[in-house]
Amino acid sequence: MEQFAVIRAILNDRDRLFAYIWSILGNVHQAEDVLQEVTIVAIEKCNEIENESAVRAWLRTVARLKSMEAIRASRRQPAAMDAAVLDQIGRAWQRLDGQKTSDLVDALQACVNELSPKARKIVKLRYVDAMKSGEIAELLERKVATVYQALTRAHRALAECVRRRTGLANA
Amino acid sequence: MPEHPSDIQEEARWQELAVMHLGGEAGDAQQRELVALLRDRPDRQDRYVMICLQARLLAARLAGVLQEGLAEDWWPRQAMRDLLALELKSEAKPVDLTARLDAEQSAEALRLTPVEDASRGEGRRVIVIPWALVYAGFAAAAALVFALAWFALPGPGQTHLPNTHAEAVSPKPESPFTEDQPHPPLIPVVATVTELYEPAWAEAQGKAFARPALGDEVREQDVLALTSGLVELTTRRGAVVVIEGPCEVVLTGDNGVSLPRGTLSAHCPPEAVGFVVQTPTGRIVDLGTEFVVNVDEAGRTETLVNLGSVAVGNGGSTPLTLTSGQSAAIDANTRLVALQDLSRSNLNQRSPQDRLELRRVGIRQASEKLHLTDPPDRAPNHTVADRERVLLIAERQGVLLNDPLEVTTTATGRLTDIEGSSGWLEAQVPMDSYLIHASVSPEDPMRNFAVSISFDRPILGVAATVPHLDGTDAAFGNQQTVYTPNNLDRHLEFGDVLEITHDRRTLRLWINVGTAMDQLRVFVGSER
Repeated sequence: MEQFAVIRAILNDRDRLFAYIWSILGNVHQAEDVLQEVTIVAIEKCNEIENESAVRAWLRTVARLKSMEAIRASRRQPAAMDAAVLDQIGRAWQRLDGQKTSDLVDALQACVNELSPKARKIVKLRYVDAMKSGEIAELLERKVATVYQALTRAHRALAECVRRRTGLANA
Repeated sequence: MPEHPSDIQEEARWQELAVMHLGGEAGDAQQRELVALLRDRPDRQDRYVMICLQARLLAARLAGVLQEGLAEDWWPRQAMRDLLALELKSEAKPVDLTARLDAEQSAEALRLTPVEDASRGEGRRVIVIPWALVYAGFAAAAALVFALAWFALPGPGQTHLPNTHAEAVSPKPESPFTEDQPHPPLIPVVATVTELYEPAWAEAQGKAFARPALGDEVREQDVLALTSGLVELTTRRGAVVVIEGPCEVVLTGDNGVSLPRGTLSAHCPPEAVGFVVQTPTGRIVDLGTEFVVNVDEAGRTETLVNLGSVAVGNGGSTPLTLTSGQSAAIDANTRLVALQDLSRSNLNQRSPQDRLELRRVGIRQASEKLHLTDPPDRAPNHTVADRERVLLIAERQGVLLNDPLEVTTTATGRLTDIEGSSGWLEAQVPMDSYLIHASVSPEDPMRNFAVSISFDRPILGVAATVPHLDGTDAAFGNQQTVYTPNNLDRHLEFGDVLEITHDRRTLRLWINVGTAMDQLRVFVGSER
C-alpha cells in the first residue's frame, strides 16, 4: 500500500487502534507510546500491507506484538492476558469493525448528555482530566469503591444508550 | 443479560475490573481475575472492547461535550442541526457543498455531516452545512431554537436517568448563558489561547476575524489573522500551535488548522498525533513531532521538522516523510521537493516557537545567532563550543541586592575599554540576569560575532570581566549551575566592543572568539 494511504488509514482509525492497545495494556501512557511505534512500523513497512481491507488487521497484529513487547519491557510478569484470551479479544474487535467510529461518536455524544450531571462529572474527571480513582474520590469526598461503581454504571448506561441508538448488538 | 444473582454480581465485578484495568489501577491479581472472567465469554469480550472504545472516544473525541458549561449546548446544537436538515429538505435543491470542494478535504476540514433523508427515499443525501458558513444566515433562527430548546427540551440535568445514577456528586446549578460569551455555543470549541504577546489583529476585509484574548476559547472555523505579535493556541487534542504575524490561520477542528499564509510552529504530543496543517498547496500530517510551516504570498509551502516526523503531501505525488532536521517545499504549482539548503528559505529565521520562548524570558528580539538554551549544570566553558552561535542563558529573576554591587558598566553608549571600566548596580532594585557565552573549539580559527539583543525591560548594567563575573555569580547565577571562580578565560577582552543603546533596551556586541571564551552577564530591570 502507498505510504500516504497507510497514514490516512492510521489517522482514520487511530482511536480504535489506541483503544485496542489500551485494552491489552491497561495503561494509557504505554498505549500512547505503543501507538507511536505501530505508526512508525506501518510507515516503514507499508509495502507489506496488501490493500485497504487488510490494513486494520495488519495494524492490530503489529499493535498486539508491540503491546506484548511493552509489557515485557516494563517487567510486568506474567502478562495477564495470555495468547488465547488475546485471540478472543481480537475477535471481539473484529466483530466491532462493521460499526463506523463516526456513528459511535455521534451516538456516544448524545448518550453522554443523557447521563446525570453527577455521572458525567465523574466520567469527565476520569477520561478528560485523566484523574485516578483515588483522586476523584478525594475530590468528591466519596469512597474509591463508589467511584468504581459510578464509572461502571456510567459505562453500562452509555453502552445501553449506544446500543439503542445504533442497533449495535454488542454495545 | 444475567438473571441469577451470582451472575449479576459477576457481571458487575468484571466491569468494575475493566474500569480499574483501563485506569492502570488493577494489580496482578485483579488483572488475572478480569482475564478469568472474560475468558471464553464472547458476550463479555464484546462489551469489554466497547468499554475500551467508549473510554477512548470519551477522552479523545468528546472532551468538549464533557466539559462543564459546554454539555448543555448539545440539545440546542442537535435542535439546530435538525432544523437545518429540515430547512434543507424543504428546498427544491439540496445544498451541494461537496461539488465545490474536494470531497475528502471538505468532509474533514469542514466536517460536513451527511444525513440520510428517509422521507425522500434511498440514496439522497442532505448535507448539513458547517456552522460557520450558515451562522450568519441562521443567526436569528439559531437564537430562537436555542432559547426554545433550552426551555422545551430536557437539559442534561433534567434528563430522566436510571436510578443507578442516584449517587456520587451533588449537582451544581449552572447557567446556560454567560453575558460575555461571544458566540452562542453552536460551534464546537476546538482550542484555547494559552499565550499571547502584543498581537496586532488584522483588520477584517470582508472576513470575520476572531480577536481572542488570553484564556479565550476558539471555535471551529474561527479565523485568526495577525499583522504582528505572537499567539499560542492549545487545541483540545493537546497540540500546541504558535503563530506569528503576519499570519492567517483557520481552526478546522480539534486537531487541525488551515494556514492560508504566514508561519506557525506546532508541537504535537502523542494524543495529538495526526494534527493536520492544510495549506493552499499541500497538507502536512504530524506523526508525533515538532515542526514549522511557512506559506508565502504565492502559496509556496515550506516545512521543517525539528523533532519526530511528519508526512508532507501535495495531493498528487507520493508524500514525503520528513524526520528531524529535514525540510521540504511545495511550490505554487504543487511540486513537492526536499529542501537541501535552508539559507534561501523562509524558514531561515527564528520559528514562532523560538520567538515565544524568548518572549517568555523577557527578550523582545535577538539576533539569529543568539541561541536561547536551558541553564546547564556547570557554567559553560571551552567544552561548550559552537562555532555558529552564541549561547544565551536566562538566569535568576527578581534579584534584590542588599548593597550596591560593582560591575563592568551601567552606562549607555559604546564601550571599548572593557577591562578599565566599572559601574555600580543599585541595591533594592529588582533585576533579572542573562549570561551570554561564546566559544569555539581550539582547532577552529577565530570567529567574529556581531549580535544584538533587545529586552522588554531596561538594561541596568553588564558584567564582562573576570572579577565582575565572579562577583555576580552568587547573587545572579542559576541556583542549579555550578560556577568556577577565577577562570581567567571568562571575559570580554581587548578588541571586543559592547553597546547599551540610549533607551537601555538593546545590547549590541562585536566580539572575537578565539582561544579564550567570551562571556558576559547582563542585568535587566525586573517586573518581580
